[in-house]
Amino acid sequence: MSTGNGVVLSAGGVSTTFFTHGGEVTAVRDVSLDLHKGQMLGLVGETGCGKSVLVHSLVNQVRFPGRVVDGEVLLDGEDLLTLDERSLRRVRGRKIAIIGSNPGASLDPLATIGDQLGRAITAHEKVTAPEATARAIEALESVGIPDPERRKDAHPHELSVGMAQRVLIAMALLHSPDVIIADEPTAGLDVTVQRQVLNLLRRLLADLGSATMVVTRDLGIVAQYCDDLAVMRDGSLVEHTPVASFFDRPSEAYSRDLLGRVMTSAVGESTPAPAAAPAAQPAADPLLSVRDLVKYFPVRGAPHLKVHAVNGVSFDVAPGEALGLVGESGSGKTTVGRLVLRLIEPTGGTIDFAGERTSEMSEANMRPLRSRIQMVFQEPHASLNPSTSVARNIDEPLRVTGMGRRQRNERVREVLGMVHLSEADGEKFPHQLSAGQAQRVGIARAIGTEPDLVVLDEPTSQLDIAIRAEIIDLLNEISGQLGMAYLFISHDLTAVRSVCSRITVMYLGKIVEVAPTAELFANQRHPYSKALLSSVLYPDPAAALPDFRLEAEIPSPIRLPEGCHLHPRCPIAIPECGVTYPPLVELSAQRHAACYRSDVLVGAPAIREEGR
Amino acid sequence: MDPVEPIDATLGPAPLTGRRESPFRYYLRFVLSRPAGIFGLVMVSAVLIITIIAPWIIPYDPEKTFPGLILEPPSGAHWFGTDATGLDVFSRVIAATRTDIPVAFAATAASMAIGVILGVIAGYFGERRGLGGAASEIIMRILDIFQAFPVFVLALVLVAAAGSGALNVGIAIAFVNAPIFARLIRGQILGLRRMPFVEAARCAGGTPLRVAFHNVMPNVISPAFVQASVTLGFAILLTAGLSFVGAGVAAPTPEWGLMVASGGRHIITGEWWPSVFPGLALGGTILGFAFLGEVMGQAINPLERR
Repeated sequence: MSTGNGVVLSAGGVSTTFFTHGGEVTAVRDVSLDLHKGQMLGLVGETGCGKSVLVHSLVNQVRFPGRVVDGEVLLDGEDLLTLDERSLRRVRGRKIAIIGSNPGASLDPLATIGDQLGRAITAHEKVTAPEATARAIEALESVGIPDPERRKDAHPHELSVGMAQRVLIAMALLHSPDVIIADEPTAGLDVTVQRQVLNLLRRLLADLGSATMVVTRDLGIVAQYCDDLAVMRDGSLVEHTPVASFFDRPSEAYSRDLLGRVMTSAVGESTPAPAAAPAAQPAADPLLSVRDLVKYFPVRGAPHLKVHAVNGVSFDVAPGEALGLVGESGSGKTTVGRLVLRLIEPTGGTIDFAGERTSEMSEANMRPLRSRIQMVFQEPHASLNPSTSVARNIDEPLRVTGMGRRQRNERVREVLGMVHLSEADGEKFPHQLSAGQAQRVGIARAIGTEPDLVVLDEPTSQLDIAIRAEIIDLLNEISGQLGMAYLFISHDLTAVRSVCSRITVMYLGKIVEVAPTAELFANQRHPYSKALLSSVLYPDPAAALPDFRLEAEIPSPIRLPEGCHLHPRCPIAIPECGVTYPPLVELSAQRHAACYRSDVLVGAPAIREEGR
Repeated sequence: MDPVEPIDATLGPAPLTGRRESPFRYYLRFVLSRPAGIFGLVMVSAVLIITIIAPWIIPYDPEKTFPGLILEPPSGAHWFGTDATGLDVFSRVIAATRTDIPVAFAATAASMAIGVILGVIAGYFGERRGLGGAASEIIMRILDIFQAFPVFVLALVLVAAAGSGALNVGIAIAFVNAPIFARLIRGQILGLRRMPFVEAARCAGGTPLRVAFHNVMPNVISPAFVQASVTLGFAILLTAGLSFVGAGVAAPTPEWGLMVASGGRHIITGEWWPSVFPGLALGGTILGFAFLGEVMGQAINPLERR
């Protein structure tokens, strides 16, 4: 990383207020910060702390009814806050560029990416059309988009999210801007892709020497990629310091608290991995037994194609056991969860729950069983009925159990207490809750009927990192009290770590590895598990990043690769991998992996030259 | 981007703590914050109050003729003058509310009930296999047939088949408006039914009908009430229109459309009052309902308003 110390952009005393009829809301309060040439500043803070408004303020682009009321933003001797819209257009894109999150929505769906890049070029420079096209191809190549000649004619919907994010980066860097602001550049990306994108960004910035600010909620990104760190809370900067010293000894109480909570959730220190005691007897009848489960979805407008969401999955969950089901988006893990709940019909295979073959039951026969299998959903607010109170939401599964009204009210009060909400919270409506509280309500609803199995579908992935730890602790606490089994679905290995005793890793609809949690974290016997674990960004700048990385991105589940589904991305693939799918073999007691090369992974980590 | 609570620039943020503001108070606050809303509310309230107190404020019996006073211009004794048969126009304009308003209200309520039930079924079970999916398809195709005809023509045909009179006019209006509600509700539910809270309701063990009507419907019912306000105006217009062409209420029952029709032929000779006053009453009432409906529609969708 370059060490240039020249200040490129200097913001002083910036305050931004939203003028609503209900009163003035100050979103950014007297913020001063400098961006240095060749340095990356990480701006962190929880949802709603004013990060995004600050980004908009820096480029003088705050939306109505908001307005920057005070301060200055100096770039090249000009105060951006005093420039008129015309002069601002000259600056934006050329001297200062923004890389947004949600790449799918940031690109024009009607234009090819080549045209969009071309337009961004001609907005600031007088160049001919063929020249612009050539530059666009060059730009696509520089961000590692394969076959840019052909890809320039692609429309945004034809790109994966990772590729679309690369296009946004290419667009931001077209004019080699002095300042780049990346607003949550990897939100919504899978961890293996996140690593690729961040590495790319760091490499390009090192070449350009631009001053960069990365806005994120993830302290792991800051620890591994940034030079400096600014912590924002309630619109103010509470800390602005070099990364190394922050992680050593944060000076502000809030930062200490934030870091403490983050470390807990990422490393799972507060709650040691639960003992595998109840799960250690495979002889006991499993509570849930899934065999050769298959689910295909039709492709709209193409009757001869199908989405291979789940391609023959078998696993057991013992009573009281917590099984983790881990994989990136497109791995089929959520589909498995929905199949277990019979929210969708399986294409093939069997599901047995408590000795009954639920996969062949009619919906009416399934209904009485539903109080014994419950679910906690990914989106905390969307999973609650917005038109009824919290208490009524929790009451809903209890109504079919035939309990009397008084008994049910008593039970609702009880579970509200179990998830650490007050009785008064029961009177509220879902929109009045924070995301963390809403997820507690979701959990309360799931445990009201004292189910035998709770399917947790990414229960923490939409929450701020600090809240995740609270929810994880709560889940452990509840399983300790009620002794139900969990099927914990997540893309995040660290999230399942402190809850589950056993972890199943899925890739493209198949199970690639099964192992007890501690063993999986100690050594991985499948390259996909290894890549997943290597992609975790620990909030500790001293932690070395393991260099085991997958190429490219997860392929479409419509056309699965021949042989092992992973082999086109796998750094240790051999020719055999492209021919037949490796069977899931037992390596030792309770350990299974589906890889011809699992022996290679033990001990010696395969190293690959840093890719794109 | 961080999810941001939508802030209404006009009203200020809704209170985030404590009990949710009742929908009624919210709508009232919203309606009163806009000129169109105030106008609509005043007009609608005035019409409803007049409807209730009509028998006590009319100076004369609306069906009693004054033999010597044919087409008398407005005067102190007869504010709106008299018509060609010597009936007091003012009394008839006031008394007509008792024909038009109840018919329109009953018809709209009926069309809303029919439309919402059909819409919930068509929306929740749409594009699925089994009995529910079949029912949904059948409902939508029947609605297509109904909506293929112009509303007025269809109402005319229904009344012609069943015979005229206030009851049949009401039934006809209920039928022709039901598809509007059904489509509205269906569209709302299609957007909602893949929400996790609907799956949560299924996980809770609810039967499909219970999930559809108990869990999903309450979330989409507000737009139906807004639509009802607009539909009410049209229902009044339709009642008057059917009578205007002679397919609705028969003379001498006081009714605005009928009065416009019978008074219209005197405009050419300068006697404008028997038709213009009922016409103004009709237009003002419809405008009031339309404005109120418009503003309520904005109130329901905080993101669409400025």
